[in-house]
Amino acid sequence: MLSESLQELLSAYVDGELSPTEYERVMSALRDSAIARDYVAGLRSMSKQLKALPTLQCPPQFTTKFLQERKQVQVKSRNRRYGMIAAIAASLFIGVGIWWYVNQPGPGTLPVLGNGNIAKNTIPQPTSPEQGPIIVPKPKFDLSSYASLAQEALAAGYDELDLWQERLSQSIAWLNQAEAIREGKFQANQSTLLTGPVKQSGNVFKTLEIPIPLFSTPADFKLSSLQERWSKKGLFVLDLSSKDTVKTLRRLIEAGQEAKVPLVVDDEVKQRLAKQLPAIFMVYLENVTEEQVAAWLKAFEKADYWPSSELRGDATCQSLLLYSLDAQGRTQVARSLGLAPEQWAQPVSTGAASKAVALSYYSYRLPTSLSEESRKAVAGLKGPMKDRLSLVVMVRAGK
Amino acid sequence: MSAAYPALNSEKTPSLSAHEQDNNRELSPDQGRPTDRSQEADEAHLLKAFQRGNVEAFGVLVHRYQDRLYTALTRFLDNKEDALDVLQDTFMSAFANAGNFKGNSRFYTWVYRIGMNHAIDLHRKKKPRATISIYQGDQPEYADPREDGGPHEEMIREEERQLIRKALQILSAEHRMVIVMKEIDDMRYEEIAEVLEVPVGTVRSRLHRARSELKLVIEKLQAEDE
Repeated sequence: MLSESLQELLSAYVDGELSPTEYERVMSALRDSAIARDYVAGLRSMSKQLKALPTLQCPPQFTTKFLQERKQVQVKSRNRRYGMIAAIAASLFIGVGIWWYVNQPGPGTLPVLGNGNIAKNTIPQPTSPEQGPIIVPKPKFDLSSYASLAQEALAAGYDELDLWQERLSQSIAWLNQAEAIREGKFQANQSTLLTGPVKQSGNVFKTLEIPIPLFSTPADFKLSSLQERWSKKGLFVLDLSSKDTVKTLRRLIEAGQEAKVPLVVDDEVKQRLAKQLPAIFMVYLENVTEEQVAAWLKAFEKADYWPSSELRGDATCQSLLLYSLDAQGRTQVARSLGLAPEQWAQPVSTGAASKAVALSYYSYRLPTSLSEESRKAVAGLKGPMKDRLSLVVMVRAGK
Repeated sequence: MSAAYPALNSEKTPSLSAHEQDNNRELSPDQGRPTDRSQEADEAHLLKAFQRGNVEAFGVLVHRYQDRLYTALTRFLDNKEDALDVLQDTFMSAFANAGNFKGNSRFYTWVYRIGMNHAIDLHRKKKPRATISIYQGDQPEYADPREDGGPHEEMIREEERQLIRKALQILSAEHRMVIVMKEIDDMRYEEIAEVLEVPVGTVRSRLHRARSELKLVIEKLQAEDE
């Protein structure tokens, strides 16, 4: 009987991958042991069988066809970008209209908006939680600066203009939802509103945040601790940072199937999956139990089978809010929601991916408020956004 | 259909420089296997040309490696159609990301890694794994007709090929991949380690385990046949 280590050496011997010392050891074993010689013969025979499988040839014209298709795609992509700029401009005009509408003068208090670096140019930051109402000034909307920003991004090879456009549309929908809240039509368990300022009357806003404790691994995930908050807010945001959102989403879906968790994948996600477009994805879970969600996340973790270490472990739960708030902002939000500020003591989002989301979020919501620093950061987002954007999973409160 | 796509050759790649065209003509029967530094330098040259906007230069690389990668993918997936889809996706990904390719590894190793990731992706999507009886691999693949022997010997060889393909599909994806890389693609341990991004020692032990598993599977299949 050959030892495991000797078998491994014999296997490497067949491949000609031994060091001189190992080679000497193998030669000695082969001289002394018939079993070792048989083992090598068996390996060689198996290798011969495998090598006897014929080499295959691609269909004729594979390369030429591939190149032709790539060239066509390049042309289409170029045309699409021009169309996209026009679409963004159009969306922008609509957005401006709604923005101005919801910012009509009126009494009240204002919101807490975090990430002062991005928003400070337009929105005064509270000097303290007790500062009280802050009136949102009318935005100094500069269409040309936004257009030039888009141009800069385009020139820098930024290929996500369609995503920007999508976000503009979302912002409009969001503002419409703010109206729904003001009119009392908001249903917590039906809403897709995540977080942000909600209009109460006139230009009075209140920040609606969904407080969710952090967890880092599925093992830490305790749905029960969220139930009470869910019953009030109805939503849960799980922000996964991933190098490859398309693959990560597939893994989530597969894991969902394995754990028998009903996932509702919206049309946009389906389209993006089909087109292999990395982006922010929303996946909804409905009527799930704690056990199901835990099983789902565990299956997701288990499905981390990529051979490349670049992709392995690529998805990590990074934060649970769509954007980060500074300490002051968190305190303010906590107070506005009647929560203990200690619950917000730690930053909830520190990763680059979440910051990118935050940045993008602000970039469409307050397009004129981009600071120079933020502008540079946006311009720095080049090419496929694989390692820059987060996967956002929304979990709807279940039974 | 195929008439719409003229064959790639030096005459059909007018945008290639004279040097690049020479490289294109140099494709040998052993194409796709970077054997020396000159070939690596040649790849770097082609990639630079592509990064400067010469799409045809990328075509030379595709042409160089397409059959080799197609064979490996087919052996891994045991389905020619799937392998072809994955091959296209692989080169599309490589095309889209070649601008970011830093040259830290060989081009083929890089493309191979992309290809295997796509293949595993597809493999996972198709869970539960297709049963052996329905895979396309059951279709005979005719080997080199120059092999000796008459129809009877060819029938025996085909049975052996069927058996080995069947056995490969029973292996775990991890083991099958390393077997394909070593035995089908004839990669060195160092290259396999580069693709899998694991130490060479890990490749050696994994390959040993894969071979042990394959041996057992073959024995089991043979016993079932008998």
